[in-house]
Amino acid sequence: MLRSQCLRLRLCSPSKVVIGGGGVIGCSIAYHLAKQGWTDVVLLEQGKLTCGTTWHAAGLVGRLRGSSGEISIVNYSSQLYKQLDDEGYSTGWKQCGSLNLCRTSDRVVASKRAMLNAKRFGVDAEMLTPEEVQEMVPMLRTDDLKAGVFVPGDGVVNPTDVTRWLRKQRKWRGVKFIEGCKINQVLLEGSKVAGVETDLGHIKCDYFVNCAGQWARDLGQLSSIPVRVPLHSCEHYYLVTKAMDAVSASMPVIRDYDGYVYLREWSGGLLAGGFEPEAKPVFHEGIPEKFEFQLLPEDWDHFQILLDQMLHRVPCLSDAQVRNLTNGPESFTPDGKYILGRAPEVKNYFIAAGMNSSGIAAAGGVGKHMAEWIIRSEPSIDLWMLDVRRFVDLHNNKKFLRDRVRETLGNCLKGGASSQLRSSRRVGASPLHLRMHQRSAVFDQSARGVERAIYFDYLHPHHDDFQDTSIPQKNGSYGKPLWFDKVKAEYWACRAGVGLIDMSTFTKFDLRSAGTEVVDFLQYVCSNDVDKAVGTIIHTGMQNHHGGYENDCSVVRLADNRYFMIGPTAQQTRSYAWLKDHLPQDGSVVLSDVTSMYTAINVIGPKAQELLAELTDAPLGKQDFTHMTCKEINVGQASGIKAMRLTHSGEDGWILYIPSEYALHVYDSLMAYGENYGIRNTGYYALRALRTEKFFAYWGTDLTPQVTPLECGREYRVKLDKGGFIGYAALVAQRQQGIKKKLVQFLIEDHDLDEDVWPWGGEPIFRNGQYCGMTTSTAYGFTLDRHVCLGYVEDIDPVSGKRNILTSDFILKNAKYEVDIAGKRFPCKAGTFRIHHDPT
Amino acid sequence: MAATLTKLTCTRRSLNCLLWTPPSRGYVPRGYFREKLGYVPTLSPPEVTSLLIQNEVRVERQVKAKYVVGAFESNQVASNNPIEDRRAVGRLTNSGATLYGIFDGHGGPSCAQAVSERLLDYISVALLSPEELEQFSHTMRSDVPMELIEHMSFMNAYSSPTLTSRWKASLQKFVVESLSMSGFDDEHIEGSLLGEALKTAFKRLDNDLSSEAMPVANTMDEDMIGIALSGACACVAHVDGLNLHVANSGDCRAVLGKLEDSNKWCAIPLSVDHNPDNGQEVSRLKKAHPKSESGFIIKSNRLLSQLIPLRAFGDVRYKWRVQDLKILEAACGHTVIPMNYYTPPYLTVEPEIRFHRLGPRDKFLVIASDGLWEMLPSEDVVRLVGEYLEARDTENKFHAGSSLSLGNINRSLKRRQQGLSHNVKDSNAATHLIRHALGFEHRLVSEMLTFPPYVARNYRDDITITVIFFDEDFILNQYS
Repeated sequence: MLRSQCLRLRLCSPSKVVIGGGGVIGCSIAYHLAKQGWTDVVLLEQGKLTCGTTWHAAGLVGRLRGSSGEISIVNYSSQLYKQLDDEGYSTGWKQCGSLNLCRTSDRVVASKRAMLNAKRFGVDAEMLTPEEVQEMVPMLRTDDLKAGVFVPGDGVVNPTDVTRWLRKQRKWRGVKFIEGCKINQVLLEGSKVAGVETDLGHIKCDYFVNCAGQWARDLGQLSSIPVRVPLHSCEHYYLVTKAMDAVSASMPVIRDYDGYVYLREWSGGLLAGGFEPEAKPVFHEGIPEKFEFQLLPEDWDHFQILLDQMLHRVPCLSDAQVRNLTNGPESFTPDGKYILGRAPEVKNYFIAAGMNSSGIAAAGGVGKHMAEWIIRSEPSIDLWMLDVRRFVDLHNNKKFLRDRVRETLGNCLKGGASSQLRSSRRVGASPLHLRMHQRSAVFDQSARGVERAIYFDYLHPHHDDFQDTSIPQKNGSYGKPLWFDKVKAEYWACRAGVGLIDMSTFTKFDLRSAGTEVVDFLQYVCSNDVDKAVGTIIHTGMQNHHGGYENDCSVVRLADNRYFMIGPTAQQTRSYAWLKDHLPQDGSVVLSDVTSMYTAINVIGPKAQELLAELTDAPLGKQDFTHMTCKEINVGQASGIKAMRLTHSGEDGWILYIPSEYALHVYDSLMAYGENYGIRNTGYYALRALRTEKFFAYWGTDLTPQVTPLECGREYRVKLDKGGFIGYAALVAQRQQGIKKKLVQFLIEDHDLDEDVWPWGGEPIFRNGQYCGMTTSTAYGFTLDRHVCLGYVEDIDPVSGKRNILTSDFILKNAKYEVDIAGKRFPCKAGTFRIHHDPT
Repeated sequence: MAATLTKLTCTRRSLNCLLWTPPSRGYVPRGYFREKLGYVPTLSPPEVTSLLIQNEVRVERQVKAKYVVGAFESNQVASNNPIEDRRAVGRLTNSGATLYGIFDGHGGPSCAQAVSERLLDYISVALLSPEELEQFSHTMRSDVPMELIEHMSFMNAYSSPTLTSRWKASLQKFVVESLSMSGFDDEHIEGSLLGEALKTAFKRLDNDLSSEAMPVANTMDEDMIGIALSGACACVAHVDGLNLHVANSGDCRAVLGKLEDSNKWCAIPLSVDHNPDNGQEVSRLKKAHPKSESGFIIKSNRLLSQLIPLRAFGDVRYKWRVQDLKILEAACGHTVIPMNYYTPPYLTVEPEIRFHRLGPRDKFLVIASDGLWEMLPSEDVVRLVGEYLEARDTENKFHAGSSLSLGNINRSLKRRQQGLSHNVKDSNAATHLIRHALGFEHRLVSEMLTFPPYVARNYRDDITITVIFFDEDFILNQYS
């Protein structure tokens, strides 16, 4: 009674930040907020600290991860655990290193790529032969291995110790931890966080952070505007054996990727866990009440596939005895990546959940970057891959999640080659989907969950239409892909004849106002001048306050007071939230998401004009219908089609925005009339080749919030004279100070298309032997007959690591570039390469 | 003829409503749901399941390793309306032996019904020693007669009190006559005592069915004639310790499921089908009649062009003398005598007896009417029940004892993986078999269950199955 009364008192006092969830993530965010000066923080935990899933973690901290963001996050965590341990707070940090095993040559390539990527963050790793692996850990079976990768700086922590340390932090620098307090509702004022209603009373706050782990999805529903947190719990296993003679306390953590298991030493025995290819979702109907310090009943039958692999790798494990088999539920996400960042639905609502069973490894870095995100409204590094705004409503559908996490759990340890996901597919599809399926399209699932054709496989007309596109050919999934010749044919259709691409997945917004308020609004959020004649299409960036790219889009002026905005597929949630956040308070500008209303057909190529002329009465000559303009025309018997003379590929042609009811008619008419023009269904891979070859940067890979137009060569799309737009000041300052990185196009020389590993993005670039940046987009340029890579060049001081102001001399004069593709360096030429427009 | 037979059996009509009839929505003309793609299921998966499990029975011994039969599971599904199959299960009070019978009626259910109600009693009497007979005869007319057999009653079983009392009288007569014969016949008995007793019981009951139907002073008992004009094949298993006897008359079948050392399921037949496909049976028949008749006896693959089973209860049309049949014809006003009927009897009920001593690898016995065997060969039936057993074994969670090594745990788990891989939807082996006999796929099963009555019989017969599971530990104990 007394306790709850006194809790009530504490609850009533308003605070700046309320953190929901007392696991390792929530605690780490509280720690880092306080460390960065925000101590007015209350952390609420419905049970006891760490009682959800943190307490049964395996405690691995391995840094060779799939993306730069994750590497950077885990790298920071390992430094933090080490530092805390040094400072006398025991976290059980043991720097035993990681030993990652490669059974296939594909895995060797993946590991080499990961090593190169991690090296930039100071993560050292070395390749070992199977014999060296054997020597390092004699109990391993190594006759089926190709290689091993030893990462000496990796380590493990003891989750119990970490928990104990976290508990000690309870009163740390004024941060309040309240246990046994359940959140009933997150209170909003308008669409902004205002407070939290709990079973111990309510508390006012400015910021709310949802760190509720596997409860996070449900907690997301507890506000009047629900917040998407797409995750689903799965059973997750590890086994602890009784002490074994063969196990030494200093043995490294073993990760056998191809057998989906890992092993670490645990009080004289082994702790062996894994990520089975088909997981077992659990708690679909909700998590039981009071699920605190609890495990699920063990299902040995489900665990068998992992046990088999463990016994295979460690033959002497056969004689070991079990101490316990732990089935602790963990939450997994639709793409196996964390969910971080600011909720797009509600202002000042942050999320850090869905750690896909690497919460301990992630906690440090996640805490640091989330604190930055909350305090400075941007993290210091690009975390787009982990950003909650990558999701749409579909991803939060429980049935979608249940089917998907079955698969993503198994991908957690895989890393490396990203094969297509096969579950929860064909959920969204364009009106042209079945037509394209009949014409042997191979699809992948776009960020919006809508299928899009990546290429057409005419040779295999009855294949599964979302087959794995990385079927190994000769050099595995990193070598020359099977689709090479197909994409080549599609590419040439677009360059020499006419190609047709379904672009319906692009994000489409309609913006309008009674007067010209919409013009003022867009002039404020866009860096280019959008106040152009009706019918004009304007490519523009939407910058953040640091001048970086929040969005990259095309804006079409349909009327004096109305615009149509086309953005990247993946930007639907993010750019909508950004625009909504900046809309005039008076409601004078109306923003609507019309993505699903239109089907977009891109008719690309020199013959596009002649073909389209057969189907429409509108004059299409280059003078009558100029480049970068939009007109409403008829195509065949369908009307009201917005035809835009741009193709996102540098070729002539139109994108037709067709009200979806008429899409089939327009498609069929184009295909019928197009027959005599050699029209070819074309997928996204050909488009990628076209635009990369022409040095068109794309949002998400080349353009990020950390990149400004000056750095990516898009100064010409910024109208500094108009002023008064978001990011203006930052850009002006940058123009004065100079830039520190620059997007450059590279042509790879001496590359054997059939024998060498291909560049796929994320390869380090070297200038005169010095590391100077990473590639972003890559594609094979069929006209240039070389691999084309885009990448950022920086002038990094080799001693201090400081980034100097770039000069064009640095980039182009006396500079010999090389790109390192999985351990082999290829010379390359830097510059912009003109393509001769007549391929004949 | 068919019309009269229906008339004769109509006294049972009121009782027949207890049997399963397809739901009315099953009668929607098939064409109505037919599209280009073929049949569209008119039953939902839960509806199919609820129809299939309607007559399900499972009886399990609560005490393990004490009885040879650990459990039995039984089920039936009708094609004829009413169903013509019957089943019976009973336990002999003096020996503790258990009896499992399957009775496949034809020409109406009356004969199978009577046999299912009476045969086990006849067997129990036939098995009594002279002393026991004596003892029993003293109590049988009293208010509390000695209980010879415990009948297991099935949910869908029924009996009529008036008939039951007549049958009691016949049984008492059998007891009295057996008593008077005892002491004489012992030395003539060939083969096992038990086998002979089973044969005696079959023959005696068939005799009684026949004589009860014989018109007396030109009055005839419609009920009794209905029973005797229809027929029934019968297959009965007698399990006493490790001794398994199967008595079979007609085309029901008993198959033993054995798990070979190689972990493969093996089907051991414990009966032969008495039908025209059985060469031995055909030659037995031909030998028993003049050569001149050999062209007529089996024609169109039927006995006298009419009957498929070559041994059966009832069916007096193939057993009685011509003059007796003529009386019957006069009474019911239509032809009953088959063409080329010269040297009756053409049909016998005498069962073939098979003996099998149960071994530790014998896991179960399947007895079923020919409705099952028409759809699935014995090997498939045994494999399916085997898979059912393996799947059942994995129903309970695996617990790893702390003393087990991981290698041993993995070996056990691998074995379980096999059981887990079987797609077993039903919790009853007989239902599992019926589902497979009807096609297993939902669409097929739904179609099979919704054929209108007049076509159903063209696609499938009534199916009745009893699966007897032997207690492995009991058998092992007997051997050690």
